[in-house]
Amino acid sequence: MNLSIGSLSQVGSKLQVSKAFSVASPVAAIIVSLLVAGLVVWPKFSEVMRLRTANEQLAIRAKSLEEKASKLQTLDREQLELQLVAAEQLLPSEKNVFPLVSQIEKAAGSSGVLLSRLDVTPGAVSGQDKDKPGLANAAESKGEAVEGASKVQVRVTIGSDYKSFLQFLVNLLSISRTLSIKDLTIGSGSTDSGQLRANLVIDAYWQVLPGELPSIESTVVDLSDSELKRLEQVRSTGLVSDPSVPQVPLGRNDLFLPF
Amino acid sequence: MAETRDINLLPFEEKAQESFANLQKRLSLVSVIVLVVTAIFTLVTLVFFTSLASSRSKLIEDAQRSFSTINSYKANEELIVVVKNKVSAADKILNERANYSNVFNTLTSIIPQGTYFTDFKVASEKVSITGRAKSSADVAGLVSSLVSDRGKEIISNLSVESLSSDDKGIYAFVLSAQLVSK
Repeated sequence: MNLSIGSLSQVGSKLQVSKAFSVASPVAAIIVSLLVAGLVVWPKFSEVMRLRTANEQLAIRAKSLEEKASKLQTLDREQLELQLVAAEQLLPSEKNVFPLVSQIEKAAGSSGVLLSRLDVTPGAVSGQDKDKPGLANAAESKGEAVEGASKVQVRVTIGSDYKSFLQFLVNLLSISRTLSIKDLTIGSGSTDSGQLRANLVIDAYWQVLPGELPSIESTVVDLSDSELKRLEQVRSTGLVSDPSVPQVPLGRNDLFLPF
Repeated sequence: MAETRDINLLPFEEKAQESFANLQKRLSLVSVIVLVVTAIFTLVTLVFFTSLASSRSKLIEDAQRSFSTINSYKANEELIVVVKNKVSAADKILNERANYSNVFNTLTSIIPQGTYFTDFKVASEKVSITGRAKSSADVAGLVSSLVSDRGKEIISNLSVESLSSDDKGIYAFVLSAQLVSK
């Protein structure tokens, strides 16, 4: 036992170093693993979670697009065109003032009332006078658009007996175009002749065609039963062709000669 | 003295070495566990990512196919959109408009025989009726008819604005009410 204290301490320090090296590798492995997990895998995992959420939203959009595509495939083009003609009769894309006046005249003629006055101020015939208020008619300038539809007001004065007046109302409200009687004044006058004088303010509606389709992802909404019934009513009246203005002979030699 | 120190050193060294060996084992075990967990986490993340990326590309393909189908049926879409817009607006307006034929038919059937109207005005769904009656009983009959169930189908909020009789006993009346929409 000739070991000196100095050589013993040297051996001890070597042992300490070898011990430190022996624990360094597992510690380094733990640190590297944690660094990889924290700096590489966790951000990727967060990305995966975001991707998952994005996929869920994409799946919903893809499903709605697929439903829309299959619905559009099942629509019958010919039937839609017929429905469009009927819808145009219900709510024309232009004011169509002259066909309207003609229809009111016909309703008056067939019911036996005397149409003594008819006032309408249609403004621009094409209905494109929205940004020219000076040309817009009185009713439109009030800005009364109902359910996205604009209207033209027609003021009518009639004279008739009570039964003919009722018949006129029936005929008027069975016109395929969407009309409503806004104001109505009936007076029997002072005489006992049974003759009535009535003033009506008729709102005739029209709606411009949409300039562009809604977003491709918007759903296609089916017509409700009540809407289908309306279209069927219009089609069943046999008025599927456009109400036209009656033809009149054309051409005169003197523009100012009274007829 | 030195001998005694050496002899006493042995159990202490052994004890320290044993505890170090334990620590070393524990560290090794923990490092293996951490490595395995990290590896599994990495693998799962990668598998998940690959699967999600593949399903995303499939979804995009599906959406593009639907887009092209929708574009090829654009004419149908235009037709249904226009028809729906027009018919829906028309249906709402027609559902809300007053049915005057029904109003007059009902009035015709419920008005007392000794009564007649001289003026009938409707403005913004407010009705004003001016008329004459043979007697106050006829006016009462008219008011009673108008507030009956049948009368309520066509008008509401009935009010007698004026009632006066002349020297012949003929009553003149003015009634006002609200027109009931269809």
